[in-house]
Amino acid sequence: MQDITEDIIIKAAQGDFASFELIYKAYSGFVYNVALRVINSKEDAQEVTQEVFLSIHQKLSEFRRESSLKTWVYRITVNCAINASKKVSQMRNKTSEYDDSSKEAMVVGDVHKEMDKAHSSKIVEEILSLVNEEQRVCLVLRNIEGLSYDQIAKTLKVNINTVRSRLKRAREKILATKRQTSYEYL
Amino acid sequence: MNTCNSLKELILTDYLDGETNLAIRQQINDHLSACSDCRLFAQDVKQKLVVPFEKAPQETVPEHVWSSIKEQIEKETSVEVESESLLSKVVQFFTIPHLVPVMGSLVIVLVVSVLFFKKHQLQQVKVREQVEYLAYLLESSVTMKESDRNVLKTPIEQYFL
Repeated sequence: MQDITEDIIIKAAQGDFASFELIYKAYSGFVYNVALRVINSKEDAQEVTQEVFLSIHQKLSEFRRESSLKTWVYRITVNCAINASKKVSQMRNKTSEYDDSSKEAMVVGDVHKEMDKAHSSKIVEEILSLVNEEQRVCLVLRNIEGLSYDQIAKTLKVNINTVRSRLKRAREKILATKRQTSYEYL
Repeated sequence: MNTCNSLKELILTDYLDGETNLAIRQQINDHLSACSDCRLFAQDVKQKLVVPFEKAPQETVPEHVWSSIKEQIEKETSVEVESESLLSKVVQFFTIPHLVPVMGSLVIVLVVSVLFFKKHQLQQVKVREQVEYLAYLLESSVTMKESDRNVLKTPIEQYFL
């Protein structure tokens, strides 16, 4: 992943498409994976990725550098993902519905490896479906993207203790549900 | 027991996420080696809340996502360019070089005609004023004669006249 310099940001804000593509290459992985874990649907995650980058393209000239570009992109991603997730949840009427497209991941090649990957993905989906959007975002940013509490707090524009509390409640809920159902996943 | 409860909270958050400093981490580790209940809790937490995420694969963004973004941006840009070019066409139409003398002479004709009509109008106003003044003078002289006749009524006045 290429570091996004000030020069690249300025050029992209002035309409240089090659510079904007560098920004896309640097952050699209993060944007897509966060959206995918928060919404739990590949199709919707792709739509959110598009929405996020179109928004970045439109607003880049207004970016005031009060935070880093990374934090700014993370914030847009999280907001778009939460909004999309709420819409999807309303349509589904239940949070434990999974995306069937993950089952299509069984492809030729190393079948065992693919099965293991699909299995791990499914476990994560199940864990994340147990908590609400705000808690899910904290778990994704911490456990999947590896952000620190401080980075999460800046991204979500909340107090660091709010991040700690959301993680604690989410984990307590997951543990309680797992113990209740005695669910074996390993 | 209280120590265990507060430690479990820490294990669930800062300890698990590596947010504790070395001294606190060491204290927790010491407690874990002595307390089997907390140790089992920490193992359970790690197995249920950390391992699944470590194994979860990072998905790659499908190629068509970038194509769609690119297409959308190009569409938006072309709309902007179209509206800009329409505006520039209008501006260009009025700034075409061969139209400059025509526009210039039109302006001159307009200015001259405005000046002419204004002058003409001023003259008309002057004539009307003069006519009105003469009419006023005539009227006043007539009324003066009548009033003079009325004023010269005493015998002395009539004698001298």
